[in-house]
Amino acid sequence: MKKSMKIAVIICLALGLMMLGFGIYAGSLGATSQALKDSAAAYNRAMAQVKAAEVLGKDTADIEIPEEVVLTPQENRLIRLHDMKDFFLIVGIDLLVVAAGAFFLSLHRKRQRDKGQELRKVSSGNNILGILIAFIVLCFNLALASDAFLTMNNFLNVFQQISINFVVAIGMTYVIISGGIDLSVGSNIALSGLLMAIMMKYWGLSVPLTILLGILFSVAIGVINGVMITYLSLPPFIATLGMMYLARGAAYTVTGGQPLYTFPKGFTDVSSRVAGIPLYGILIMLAILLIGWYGLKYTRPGRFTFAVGGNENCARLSGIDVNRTKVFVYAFSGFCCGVAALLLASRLDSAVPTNADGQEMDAIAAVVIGGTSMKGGEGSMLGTVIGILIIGVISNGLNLLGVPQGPQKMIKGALIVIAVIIDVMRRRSAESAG
Amino acid sequence: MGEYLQMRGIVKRFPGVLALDQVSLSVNQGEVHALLGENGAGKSTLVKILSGAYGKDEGEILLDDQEAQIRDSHDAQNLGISIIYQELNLVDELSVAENIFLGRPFMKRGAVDWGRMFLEAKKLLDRLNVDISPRERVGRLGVAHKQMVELAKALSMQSRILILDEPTAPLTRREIETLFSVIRMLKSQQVAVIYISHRLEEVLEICDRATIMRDGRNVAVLDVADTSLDEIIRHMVGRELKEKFPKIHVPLGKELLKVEGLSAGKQVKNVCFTVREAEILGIAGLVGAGRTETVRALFGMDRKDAGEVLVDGRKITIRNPLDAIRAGIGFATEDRKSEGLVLTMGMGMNITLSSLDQFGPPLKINLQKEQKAILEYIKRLSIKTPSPLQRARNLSGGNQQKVVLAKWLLSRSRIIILDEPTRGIDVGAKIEVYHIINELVRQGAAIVMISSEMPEILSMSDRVLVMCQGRVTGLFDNDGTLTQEKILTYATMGDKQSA
Repeated sequence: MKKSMKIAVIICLALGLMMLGFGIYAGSLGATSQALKDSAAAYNRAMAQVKAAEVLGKDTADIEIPEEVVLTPQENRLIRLHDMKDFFLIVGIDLLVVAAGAFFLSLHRKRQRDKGQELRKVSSGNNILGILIAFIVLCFNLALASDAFLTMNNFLNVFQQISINFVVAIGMTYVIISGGIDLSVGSNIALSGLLMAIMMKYWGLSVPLTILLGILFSVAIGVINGVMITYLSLPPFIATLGMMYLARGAAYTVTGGQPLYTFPKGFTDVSSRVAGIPLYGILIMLAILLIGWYGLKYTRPGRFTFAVGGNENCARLSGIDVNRTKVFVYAFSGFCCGVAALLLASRLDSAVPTNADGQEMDAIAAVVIGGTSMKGGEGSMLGTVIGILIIGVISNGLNLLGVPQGPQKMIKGALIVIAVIIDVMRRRSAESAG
Repeated sequence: MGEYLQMRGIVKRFPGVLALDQVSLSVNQGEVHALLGENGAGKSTLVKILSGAYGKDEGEILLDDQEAQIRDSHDAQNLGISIIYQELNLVDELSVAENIFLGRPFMKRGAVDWGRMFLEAKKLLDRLNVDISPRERVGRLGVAHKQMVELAKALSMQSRILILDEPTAPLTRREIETLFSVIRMLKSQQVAVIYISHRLEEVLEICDRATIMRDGRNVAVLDVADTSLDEIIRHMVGRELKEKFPKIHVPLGKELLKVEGLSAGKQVKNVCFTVREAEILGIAGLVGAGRTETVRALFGMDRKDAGEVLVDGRKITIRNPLDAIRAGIGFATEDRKSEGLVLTMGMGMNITLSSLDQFGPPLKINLQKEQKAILEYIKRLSIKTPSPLQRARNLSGGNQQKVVLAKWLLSRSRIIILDEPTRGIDVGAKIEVYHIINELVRQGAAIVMISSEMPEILSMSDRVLVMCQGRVTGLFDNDGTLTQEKILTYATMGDKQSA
């Protein structure tokens, strides 16, 4: 075990035990703290009564005034300490978990080394394990901090919040692995949603045909992105940035900025609940996940996506049609947007030009937290799923704990940066070891 | 004359690896000292410690018998230590003079004194006897001239120790001569030169002593005058090498590839050649002779303006690499890292990248079947890797080259183009690559091998094609009468004509 690692584990262990001790001590202060609070409250209440009586000019003699309670600074601190017992306990347990995890990991490495195996340097498996642990610790903390977290109702709530990002991020994973980026996803969803609304309400098309055409339209936007990037050699950032404004502008234009409401029953049924569960929505999400995961692992276009993102020259030299692969990747991202538009419009029973504003950033964040490299060539679908869950669960947890929107955004930002720092450090250490 | 630089008992650990184990190195003033060893022997680590790029874990460095503290590259610079890496460290957008005096411009009244800077740069370049304008943008210079700019930079810093890491790899013979004369001049000025190279013939030519390393340890310090190539190689690999070039002779088969009148851009003009089954056609020439461009056009990587390609007597159209692969052609490029491999992918997936059609339909890759094929090739080519999932980036140069070869073997290529197949890989791995080439020849493949290493061309080829300025200037049977000098004469023929 490296010296710095050893020190880190010991510090974690010590701090964790200390925090745990604090927490237990603070918890044991419950009775004292409550008594102090009660007596202070009783005195304050009595004084308030006296004041009220004086104002009203009543006799104050028969108000029983308890002995004056002035909380000393120590007593005040004691109360505050007790109030923070949950915090201490949770942080303490986290630190112990981290220390134990690091300890067992190094033990495992040592055993591997003793067996004479060369260390597996970079493997996306290791990386997923890391974010998976982070996710579990996160859920564990939230379960401790809020009783409402581990309820079916809350689960469905989280699920609904992440559903759009879930579908979009799966397409985005392909794009980022191929070394590109797709900024047009949010506008694509908004425009496609509005078009579906128009097709049903004004053109009177049937629901299945509407869904089909809507998704095809989103795919077409993706294909246009891909063609701009390959055959016109635009940088992906610029091409999709242009498409982002174009599609958003078109979304405002088609209805003159007006939202469209109330769709046929067949359409809203997609997001209806069966036995309290949005069954079809879940099935659609799982289907997209399955397609995304299978495609990346078991199909040639998926393999080519990695190759193109990792080394375009080598991909071309190996007989891969680089342009076709790229167009495919953006088309798939467009397809995911179409599905997301269907989910969103059917759930809200409305289509608004401002829908899914900023969706691209949430999707990119999920992919990046999931350990996919922005440089392309590396990444995994499982990582993206955990990334989506982490973002969803954190914002849900912060809502439950009553944290306002401002700090929530700050936490999200810090999370993205920290996730990438960890990833960069991991890569660097893996490379220097080789 | 005392020993100017002494490194004693240097130890360097990387996570899980002991990179240097009690290594010593001592260099005199005015000496060219070779640092030799296979890839991974620890040469680069040692010079990186000397130049301040890495810190050492144990040991001491003495300069002129004074203990020297080298914490970073700045310290090294102040102590007069300069290093010129293989991948040169220049800013392409700036002028030659700006690069030479990068970070320490001449100032006059708060502004850069351009006149003086260009003048001083010119003086330095004249000392090196090279004809480059100090005002030229570095990006417009060739590799050899860039190297001279680096040398001028080292001179300008009054370096007492100059480290050259594989300086001749990208140079032509004539440019190497120029470099050597500069090194001799520096030597006469009492500069200590540490010379790292895989080209042992050059070491014998220019160096005084050689420190040989193996697996992070010192193996031997030899006086170059009293040693031989074989002795050096024996120390480097730790075993006797019967043959550096294990050429096998197999009866040649029928004509497999015929290229007629191939032209592409300015670099390839009316190139014709044929290759038979079980034949190795060596393509020799100077850097810039259009050899790589020729095979790139042949493979469909670059557009060709004219020319016909016949495989097995049938005319085929090659518009892109896929057409070439379908016709049974494979191409192991000169630059493995930027073209040969997807470094971020597993080495196994690199092997199967151009043969995925063998493992089921486009939307259903049979991973088990793929895995079986990968393991088979790892075994057949004895590729050293902990797992097929190991990223190509983490393999050594020799094993990376084997992965590239495995890729073309798997895609059932019958015509294999090798562009500098052994560049930058160590002696042991080179021989293994030759054995793989032999195996291909035995199976009746036609090999086109571009190489700048004359001994390689002369020892491995059945016939040698010489190119100069995009044209074929000579085609010889390698029957034992062909010499390095003869090839060089033809490789510079075009030069004389145009001069």
